[in-house]
Amino acid sequence: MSKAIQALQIRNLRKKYSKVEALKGVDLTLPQGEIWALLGPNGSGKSTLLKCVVGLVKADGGEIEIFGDSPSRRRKGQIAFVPEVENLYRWMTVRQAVDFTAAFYADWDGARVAGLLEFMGLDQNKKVSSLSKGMRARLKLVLALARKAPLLLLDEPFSGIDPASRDRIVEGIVRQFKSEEQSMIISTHAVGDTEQLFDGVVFLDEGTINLQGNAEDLRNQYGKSINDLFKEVFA
Amino acid sequence: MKIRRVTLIVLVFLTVLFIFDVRYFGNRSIQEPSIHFNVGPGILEPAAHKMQEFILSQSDFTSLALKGRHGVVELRSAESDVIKVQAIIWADEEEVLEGLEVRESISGRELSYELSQGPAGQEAGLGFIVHVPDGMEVSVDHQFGSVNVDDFVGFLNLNTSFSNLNVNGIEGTVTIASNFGNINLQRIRGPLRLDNSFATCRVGLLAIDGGYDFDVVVTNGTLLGKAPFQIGAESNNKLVARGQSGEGVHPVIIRSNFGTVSVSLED
Amino acid sequence: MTRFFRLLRKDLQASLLPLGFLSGIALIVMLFTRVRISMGSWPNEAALAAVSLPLVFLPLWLLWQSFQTLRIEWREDTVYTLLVLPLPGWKVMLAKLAAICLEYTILLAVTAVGALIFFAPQVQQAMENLPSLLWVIRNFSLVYLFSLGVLASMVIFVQLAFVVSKMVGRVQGLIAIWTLFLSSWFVEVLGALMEPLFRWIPVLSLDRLFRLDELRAGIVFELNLASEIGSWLGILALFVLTGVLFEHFVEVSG
Repeated sequence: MSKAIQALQIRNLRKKYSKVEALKGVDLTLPQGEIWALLGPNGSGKSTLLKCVVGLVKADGGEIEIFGDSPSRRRKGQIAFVPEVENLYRWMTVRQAVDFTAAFYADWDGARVAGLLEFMGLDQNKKVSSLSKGMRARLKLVLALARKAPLLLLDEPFSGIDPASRDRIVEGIVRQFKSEEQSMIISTHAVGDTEQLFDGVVFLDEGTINLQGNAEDLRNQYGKSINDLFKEVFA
Repeated sequence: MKIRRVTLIVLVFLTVLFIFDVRYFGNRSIQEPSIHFNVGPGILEPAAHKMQEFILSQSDFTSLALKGRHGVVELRSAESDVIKVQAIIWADEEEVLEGLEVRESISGRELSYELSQGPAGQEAGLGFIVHVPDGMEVSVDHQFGSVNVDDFVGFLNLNTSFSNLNVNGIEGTVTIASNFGNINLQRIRGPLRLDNSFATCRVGLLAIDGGYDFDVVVTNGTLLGKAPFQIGAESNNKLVARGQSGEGVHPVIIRSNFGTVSVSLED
Repeated sequence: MTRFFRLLRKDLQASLLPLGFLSGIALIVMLFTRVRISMGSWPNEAALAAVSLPLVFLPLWLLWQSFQTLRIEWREDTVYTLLVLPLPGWKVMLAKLAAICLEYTILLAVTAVGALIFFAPQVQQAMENLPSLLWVIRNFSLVYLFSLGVLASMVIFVQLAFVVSKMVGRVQGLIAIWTLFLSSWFVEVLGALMEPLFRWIPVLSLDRLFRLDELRAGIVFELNLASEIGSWLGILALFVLTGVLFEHFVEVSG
């Protein structure tokens, strides 16, 4: 029987910045069609892990497989990545940002984007620089969710934004995620009421995975919500 | 971490190669530049021309001075007692030519030729074909043309601008001041003083008893050579070559600005 | 619109403000000079200085701009967007290079139009001393192409220097300057080493190409291609290298 191809398979991933070891041999498997949470405090290595997958930083060792292949330009085109930083061209209007992104991805869904912009309350004629932080976070998410990318990596999408935007983003993810076609990792340092989103969780601390597994199994095993478990693990 | 280390290693490796290159392959400015720019003589076709000929006995003169413009000067010497000067005057129109002539003047033992004053605003030229006895001193002052010297024995003084200079065979003392024009000196045997700017100079010396003493300075240019001297950079834009062959009796002094100088000494 | 042109448009749009500012300055300088000449305060020759000023300043500004366009991508974190694009690195770099070349062209055109508007009598006077309008157009086009080639080479050096500096942790400025120096040394050495291979190529007679004999007889202006070709190949190799480094080896800060 052939082994099922995973959306993302990471083995013994290591990364060191100067004197800081950001990842100390991480192993992670993201099954297809699931949303997993990458949980950990600031500086635990969550962003580095995701950056390694999209090629923004180069791992010192270990292996990464995306849908069974090593990272390549083709695979890059199948990942929708939302970084923690604000990677938008601030002089562009919302419309220009959308058009710019659309030009590069074959999986761009033009029909989906109009609905998403409306749902997120984004005015297409507004300049990115004039948007609030929350609105810019929504726009970043729109640019990722408007694609039918098989793998979505969201790095701290809820970080430092207002509750209204946070709720919209969560709702947007729930509405747009197609489990039969897509897989997703969301990294966050605060689980809160986003817990219902996740099929699986990975607890990362100082570059090492403390705990990982199916969210439901963990809840049953420890008799706690993921949020409580998170607090306990990182207390 | 690995990438940073590899990048630094590559940079260090290239730096070592660079130091090695500078140390063992010298200053790369001591190479012929790939761009040659030279404002040479204008090849103007004379519409009208006439010739005057002067033949004199050498016994009365020790030096000859020629002042030309827009033409070709041909000079050679031979074992004879006769000075023969053929002057070719040209102008745009016959009428202009009629009012022009070559003026001969004698001052002591010096004989000189130049063009008389023509009508104002009219372009006229003067070239020479000259045969002199060996051992004479000949001075040529020429602009916008070319000067060709073959098998000359004696003392030669050339002052040219916007003129190409071709010398093939000299035994004696040569002094040249030239701006804007290619200089090609071959088979030179004797002391040489060359001052030039904005020119490409090729100097081919023949071995001589007593040898040469080289003193070459090129500013803002290129210096090449196959002669017993050491080329070095005195500053960013100044190349210097000094050295001797034999006892260094005959001076070879070259001063060049914004040009290429190539010096060779045949055994 | 292809992906490349989308990138090019983005880079051009990002430079619109400084481009407009510089064009405005060039036109104001020319207008001011024109007024001073009309008043008799300045001689006619000042027109030449007013036109030359932007032409001298332009390449320097564009080199700075080629550095700046990359620096801003890092400073404003938009490099995250560029690096995750499923595109070869050379396309990203080529778009930036083409944008700089287009900016150069636009600024040259603005200067030329400004000169024609503000210094029409002086231009007409200059034209009378030149062989023909066709000669002027032909030679200006050739000078433009040559200068564009030189500018593009310099931009390639700057791009490589910047990308390499982003591959080290510290003293990035020094590394960039040193890389700039080493890369120019590298192409010079390559040109010298490969020169014997290309000696069969005849010397390019620039005086014939530019028809300088129509201006004044006796001008010799030659380019020995043999020692240049190796350098050009070296520059091309550096461009490819920059693309590869950008796509596969550059990192965003941790």
